[in-house]
Amino acid sequence: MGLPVSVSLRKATVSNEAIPNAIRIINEHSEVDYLGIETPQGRSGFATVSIMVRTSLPRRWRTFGKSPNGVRTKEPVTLHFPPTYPLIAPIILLRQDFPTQFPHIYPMRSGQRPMPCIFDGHLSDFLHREGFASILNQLVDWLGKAARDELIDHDQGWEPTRRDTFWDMVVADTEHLRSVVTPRSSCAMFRFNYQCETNLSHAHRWFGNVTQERVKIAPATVDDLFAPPAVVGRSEIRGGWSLAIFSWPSERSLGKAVIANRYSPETVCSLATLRERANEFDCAKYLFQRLDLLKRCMTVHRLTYTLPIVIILCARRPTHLINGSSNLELCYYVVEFTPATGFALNESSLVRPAAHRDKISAPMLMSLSGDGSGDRRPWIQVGAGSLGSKIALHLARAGRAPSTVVDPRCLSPHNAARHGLAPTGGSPSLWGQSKAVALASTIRALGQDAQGFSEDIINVLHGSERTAALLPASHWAIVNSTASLPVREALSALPDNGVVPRVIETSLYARGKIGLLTVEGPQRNPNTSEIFAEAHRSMLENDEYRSLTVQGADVLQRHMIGEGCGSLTTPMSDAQISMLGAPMAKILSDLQRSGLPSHEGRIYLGSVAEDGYSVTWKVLTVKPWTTVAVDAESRWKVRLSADVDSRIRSDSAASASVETGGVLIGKLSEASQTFQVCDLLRAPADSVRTPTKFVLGTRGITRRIEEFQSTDLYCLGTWHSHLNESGPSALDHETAGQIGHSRPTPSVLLIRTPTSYHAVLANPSSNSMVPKVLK
Amino acid sequence: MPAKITFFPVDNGDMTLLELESGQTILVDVNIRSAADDPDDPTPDVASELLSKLKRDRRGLPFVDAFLLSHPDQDHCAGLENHFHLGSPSDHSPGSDKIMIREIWSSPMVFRRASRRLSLCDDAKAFNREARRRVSVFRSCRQTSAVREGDRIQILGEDERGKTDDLEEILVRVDDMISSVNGKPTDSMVARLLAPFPRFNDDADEELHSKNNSSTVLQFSLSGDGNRNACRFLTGGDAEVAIWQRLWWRNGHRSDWLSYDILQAPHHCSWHSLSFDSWSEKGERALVCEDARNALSQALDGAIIVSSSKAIKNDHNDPPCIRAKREYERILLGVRGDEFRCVGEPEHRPEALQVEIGRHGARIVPRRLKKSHVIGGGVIGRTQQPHGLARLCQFEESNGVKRSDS
Repeated sequence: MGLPVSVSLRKATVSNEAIPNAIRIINEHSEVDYLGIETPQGRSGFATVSIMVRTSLPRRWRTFGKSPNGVRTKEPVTLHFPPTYPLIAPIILLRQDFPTQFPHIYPMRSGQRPMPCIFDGHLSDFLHREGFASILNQLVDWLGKAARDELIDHDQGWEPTRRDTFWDMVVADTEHLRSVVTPRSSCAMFRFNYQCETNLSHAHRWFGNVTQERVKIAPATVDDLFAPPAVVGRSEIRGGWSLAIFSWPSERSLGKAVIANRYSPETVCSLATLRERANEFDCAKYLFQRLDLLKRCMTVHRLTYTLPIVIILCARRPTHLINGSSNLELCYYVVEFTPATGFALNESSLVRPAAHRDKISAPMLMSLSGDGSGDRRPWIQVGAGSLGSKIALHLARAGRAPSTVVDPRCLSPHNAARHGLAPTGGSPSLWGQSKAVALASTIRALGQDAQGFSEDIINVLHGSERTAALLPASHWAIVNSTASLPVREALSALPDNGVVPRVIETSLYARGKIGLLTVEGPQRNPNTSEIFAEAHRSMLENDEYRSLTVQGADVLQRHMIGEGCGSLTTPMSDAQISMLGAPMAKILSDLQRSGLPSHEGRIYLGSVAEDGYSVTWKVLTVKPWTTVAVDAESRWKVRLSADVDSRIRSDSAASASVETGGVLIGKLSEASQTFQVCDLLRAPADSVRTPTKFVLGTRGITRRIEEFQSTDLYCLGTWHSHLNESGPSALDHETAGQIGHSRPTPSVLLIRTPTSYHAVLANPSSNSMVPKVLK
Repeated sequence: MPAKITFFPVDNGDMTLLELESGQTILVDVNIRSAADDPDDPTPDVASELLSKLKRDRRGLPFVDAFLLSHPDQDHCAGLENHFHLGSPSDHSPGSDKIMIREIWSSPMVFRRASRRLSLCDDAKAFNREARRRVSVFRSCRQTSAVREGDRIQILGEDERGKTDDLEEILVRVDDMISSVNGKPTDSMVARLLAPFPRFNDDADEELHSKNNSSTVLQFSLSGDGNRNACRFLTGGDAEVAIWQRLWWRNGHRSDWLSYDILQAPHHCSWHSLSFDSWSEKGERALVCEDARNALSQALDGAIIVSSSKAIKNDHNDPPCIRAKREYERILLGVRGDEFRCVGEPEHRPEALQVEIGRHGARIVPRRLKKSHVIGGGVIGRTQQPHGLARLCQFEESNGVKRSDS
């Protein structure tokens, strides 16, 4: 175990003051001996510190001075301190002849000294976080574990094969390939769309995509499979089609799939070593059958050009790979079939390990996002403005992109301030493009199918045929980020019989300080408009929200983002939108995974605190609403929130001997011809209650109704009780007429009998349709 | 599963925890000094460290499966009453976190000899009382299976005048094996009882052994990671030269009985375990007793010797003795073992030394350099650090400089 000859054991002068400190720490360590330092000539060089590390071998191996895998009792190590130390950590190098069959060694070129990977991350970060002593501790641990073959921590996962040098690169969808592995099969072939660069020494560098198109080899199909290469873009690049052969261990030969539980770095460089590797993984037999068949086909057809064949070996590991959930490790290689050799392969034929880059795909993005599984049904994003685009892109990056994007507007330069899409240098100008189409295009670039429709959803919903096509019930949900009341109305008016998906709405208020995400209940009960009515009522009941919304200078709607010019004129930063937009995306992905609520609607209410950056979210549930039909021949209906229904029932029950009543508060949906009652005003003190009549008083009632008008909620009519099961009386109809005459919007008189509801429509007088006679 | 041996940093004293492959624990000696219980004192808090390694029973009480007192000196039993429950297991007071001892390994002959030599400390007396209580529990049951955990005892070595004759079922005679822990046979360990020897007929011999710190000497064979003979651990309390000499006389023809992968250097690396001469008086002229050295030289290839002592310095102190350390290093040299470790080193931050016993034998678990070692206060907070004018005044006074009181 000789020392590097260049090591100086004399006392050295070091210009970097941090290095002597490091040496003091080395001297303090029980398992490390300091041997010496070689200082750089100038300030720019590396200082090389030599140390000896005790590897704590078990007794039996200590006797031989080394472990069976070649780690010595004491290992010489050099630490190369860069001039930037302690900003940058030292480089750790083992002796030149240190065995390299271990995992957790950095890929290296031939002749380089092995560099252990002692920390899962940047060593400089580790240095700053844990200090130099911890680097020594990790090094001691690493060497000890290497000696005991314990570098693979099975809890952490299987370390992927160390592959040191690459020339070629293959892009493939690993998840797709893994999905074709079955116990009873063993091999599959896919089309490989390659490109090739040829350097001055006529060596080929292959790169390309393994498609998901499966093919079979037969002499008759060779011409189609291997179309002659054509020049692509720059003249030195040729492109064409070839094959990728994917082989995996099956149960066919041994009755059970072989587990490759021995770690070794990449060894393949020839057909012979490929055969060894394939045998080790138990996937050689069918692979080499295919290669032989391929050679015969090519020979018959006398191809005149060299073809790259991608070979993908699959090893079944005893545990999942690090940072993944699958135990199938895929290794990629390229072998050239060239006419110069008559397409013959012999055992010494060159086989090159190829770098693999995963194709961007939903499973890959889900995996990287730590998203195991769940509902990945398609869904629709309505509104691709600043909030909608951010939500869609967050979910697209998590592998859960919308399949359809609808927005009639185009991107304008002012969108640069807050839209999720940003202009890039090389691409055509974003401005003027449809927001929906541009967003869908970006989603497709993220490996997911998406269609953009530059249309107003309201117009789309009017055409019944297209509605069914655009909003099929098989979709997970419609997410409306337009904050547009007409759109909400249009969506509320969609049928509730299960033919369209449920609606989710996302919107921001109060200059981005309040965020609202609502989810319709099952069978769209409560529907999105009703939930919004309840959400508004909840916000009004809370002092904090009320002060941010109602008591501010503006009413709610003017702060909505995405609604017409409102967003253009409301000054708000991109980050402000993201503060609530990112949690909304998280809520949506969680809902996709766990499913939409099965018994009720839901409100997620987020708010930014006064400090401007603390965010809190509350979750409220909204029970299904009750429907009361209005008159037999009318299409109008009354919808009562669970709370209103309960209050009316209890008030009526409490007033068993006299009729009672009050004022209905809520919203009117003319599009769906619905009175949405989400609140009640108690009858004023001057009201009169008798067994046969209830007279709604007037004291203070006007002021209280006007208070509501500053919000999104308003008076819808009245309710009163009947002591028996009788429906609307003559008096009720008379009062309805009077109310109808008194206000231009439709009103309703709701009647509660001991067991049921009745409703009388108080429509404006039909006289209002008669043109005024101008005098 | 690997077995483990932990040598706690208790200065010149012993406190060694064996964690068997089966998960059972055997504690050999205890030296929890009162300073170790003081959070403001730099003495390592070995009680907490021990507790962190122990399992807890259904009542949530920490326990050791067996506790062996090698001999009743203070530095081998300090803290016993404070930290361990002594008495009937049902008397364990609620809320107390005292450690339950499921089975005691006690040697009456060692106690008898120690009592002749010195007056026993309170902890030793308490141990003796507890051992007697457990023997009387056994006598009342007459069969080990009827004795509960917490009342169990194994007697190591015969007492004089047939006093242990009626304890056959719980008696292990010298040269015999201990093969059960806490009343249950185990595959994880066997231990051969090498000493104490029964009472000598010759009074001079008996006197010599009393003076030589008669201790329980055991050769453990420990399994680890499925290897039934992964490690031999020889431990002998404070046994001194006459005892090791006799061990060689008795076992030289079967030296395998004295072989070890790990030796706990007896009496905290004392020269008196290797020589009848005094190190402080004779220094390098002191002669090694070859028989005793032979008894302590049966190191197997790659063996480790551990000194449970203060840091070993090149001085006249004994124990620990620098010459004894040199002798042990020489022993290791012959078996390609270069692992002589002193638990008390480095002196300014002693910490437990742990040995892990796996399929391929024992290995020392590397000590990590903790952050506190690098960025801790060092001597600040550990020892008093004088500041101010005192030194200057001393200097001035010694140089005849007059100071004005102003």
